Amino acid sequence: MKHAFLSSVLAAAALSLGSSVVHAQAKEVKFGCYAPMTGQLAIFGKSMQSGFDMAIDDFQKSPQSKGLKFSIQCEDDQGRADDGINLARKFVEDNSVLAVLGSWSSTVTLAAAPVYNEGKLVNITPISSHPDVTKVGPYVFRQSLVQSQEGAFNGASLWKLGARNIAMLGIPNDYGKANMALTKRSFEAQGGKVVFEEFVRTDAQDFRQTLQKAARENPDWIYIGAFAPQTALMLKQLRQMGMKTPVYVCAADDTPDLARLAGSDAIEGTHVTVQTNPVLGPELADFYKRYEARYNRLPDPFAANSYNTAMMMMTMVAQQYPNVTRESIRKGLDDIRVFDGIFGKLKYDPASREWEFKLLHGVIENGTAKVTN
Amino acid sequence: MIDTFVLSQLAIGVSVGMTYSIVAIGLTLIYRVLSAVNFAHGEVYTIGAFTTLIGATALKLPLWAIVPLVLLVGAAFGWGIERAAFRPFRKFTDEASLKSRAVREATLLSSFALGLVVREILDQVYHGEWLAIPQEYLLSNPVSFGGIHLSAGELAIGVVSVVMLACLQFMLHRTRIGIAIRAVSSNLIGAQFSGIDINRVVVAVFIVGSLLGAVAGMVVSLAYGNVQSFMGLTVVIKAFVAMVIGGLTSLPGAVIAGILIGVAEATAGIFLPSAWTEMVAYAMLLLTLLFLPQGLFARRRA
Repeated sequence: MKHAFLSSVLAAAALSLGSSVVHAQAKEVKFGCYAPMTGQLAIFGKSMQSGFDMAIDDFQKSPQSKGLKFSIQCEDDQGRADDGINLARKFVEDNSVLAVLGSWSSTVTLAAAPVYNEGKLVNITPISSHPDVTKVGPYVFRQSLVQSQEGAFNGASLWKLGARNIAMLGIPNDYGKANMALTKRSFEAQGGKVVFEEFVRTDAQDFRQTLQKAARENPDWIYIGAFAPQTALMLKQLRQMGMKTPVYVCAADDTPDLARLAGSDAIEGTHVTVQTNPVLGPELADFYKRYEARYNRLPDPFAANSYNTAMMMMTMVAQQYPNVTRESIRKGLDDIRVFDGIFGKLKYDPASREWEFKLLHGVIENGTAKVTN
Repeated sequence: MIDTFVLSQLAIGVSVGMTYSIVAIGLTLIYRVLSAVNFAHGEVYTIGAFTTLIGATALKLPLWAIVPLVLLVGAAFGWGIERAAFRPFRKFTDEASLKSRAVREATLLSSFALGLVVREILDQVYHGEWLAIPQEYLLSNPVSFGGIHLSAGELAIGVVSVVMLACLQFMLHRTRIGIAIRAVSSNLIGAQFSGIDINRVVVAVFIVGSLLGAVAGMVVSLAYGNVQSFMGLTVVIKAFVAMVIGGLTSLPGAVIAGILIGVAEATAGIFLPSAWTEMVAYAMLLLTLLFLPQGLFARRRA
């Protein structure tokens, strides 16, 4: 009895593996997505979903779509590694899912990616920037900046601004640790000195003790490698304490949420690494305009990256149609060299398996970053 | 010689400790009467903060109008907690059942569950986002004296804690309901035989305790500016520790213990990375339970 059941399950599995994943008749294409939709990081998961939704609408209107009907099924990982792993198992088993996008947090992506790799289902993250993400295996991709790239830029940028002795504050997750370590490495390589370094708790409200300890070491600049909720509180409390030391914040803080959480007064004059900005090109400027018209707020880098990655995935599926399988998607991503999207012609380096994003230095004026170079 | 650095670190400790104290007051009041921990108290605090946010953003009320709104919502929520998580376990009104271990454990869990339900609802409605109270409502003006920088909001937290404590002491000692509360808390059967309506007293305790918890949420959210669905969790655990260290039933004890925890965390933070200071409160709890099981300010049994 048991054997009969087992063999029928195996037979069903074999059948489904053999068939193409795109439902030829309905012409439906489904991507999975895991992102933080509730919890502390939910604001960023929502940005991702906004980017995806807009990409689907835009692509389906274009003739390139060949009449295919796309959907991205977003599931909530709450920014937690264990939830990410469970969702990965679910998506791998679900034969209607062609590829998976996500997650936001490097911690979750690093935990879930091995499951996708083993299950031979492509996982591409438009956000997670920890250097190890693409090293997990051949089925794990990303289309975002990498911390090694950002760290090198941050260090050089601080040095160029005249920083010599800096205090560094960050959050103790995979992102924060990589961001702080790589920024520090690059800054020290230029000849700079890190006079104070500390990681703060992400559930804390009061960072003044740490800020005061940093101030005691007389840094000429303060660097913050944390997400917007913590950075906003730190900037607000710096102002409250009357500290005038200039502050440089990481690329993840170039989001309208920073002004929303801290108030534009507290962040005025803060320096930031910019990855997404309308000045980067006409395509991006156009995206900003359309995004603002649709959602009544400006996009952050997470919405822009998610839009771009979703566009690339849909373009690839439409080109491969009707012979699209999980495996053909992986091959497609390996073979790609340039993607022409909202970031202009973005180049892919197959050796490092990373995309070459351009980074800029900006100063916050009236709540948004103005690019200086 | 203590330098300004150490002084201002300690000042921050006092002000953070005050946020634990202000929450501990309501928690301790309920414990004093029922010998039960109301773990939904953290959500009372969260609800107070969210009411402030809704009053300031959706309703666009001035600050003076937000205060009565918070009081009202806090009181209503306190009434609701008593009805949903405590009254169903009080079928028998003799002292042995009311203060029995089984009832204590059941209400500990039921209030914890109710708190989780409220937190989940807020999480779904607001997506767990950090929300900001508009700038113009914030008590964030810097106040400095002798090289120590604090904000108006922190002074407000301190002032409100002292006022709350004073009002509560006045109520407990000078008003009819306060005397009834004390009577119930010291001798339940005796109070019942003197004609005191136990259910009414318990409801009053929940209403007053939750009202104070909601005000705490309001003041802290106005001082820090950010509101989130699980903000109550960390704070209620610290307030619980303050209550235990303070001797479980002593209101001034809980307030002083809250400040002590804040100062101890700040002192540890001078020598340790700040992320490590979180364990200080729990280490203090452990030490208190091991060496002073009655707490620092235990009241003699009446």
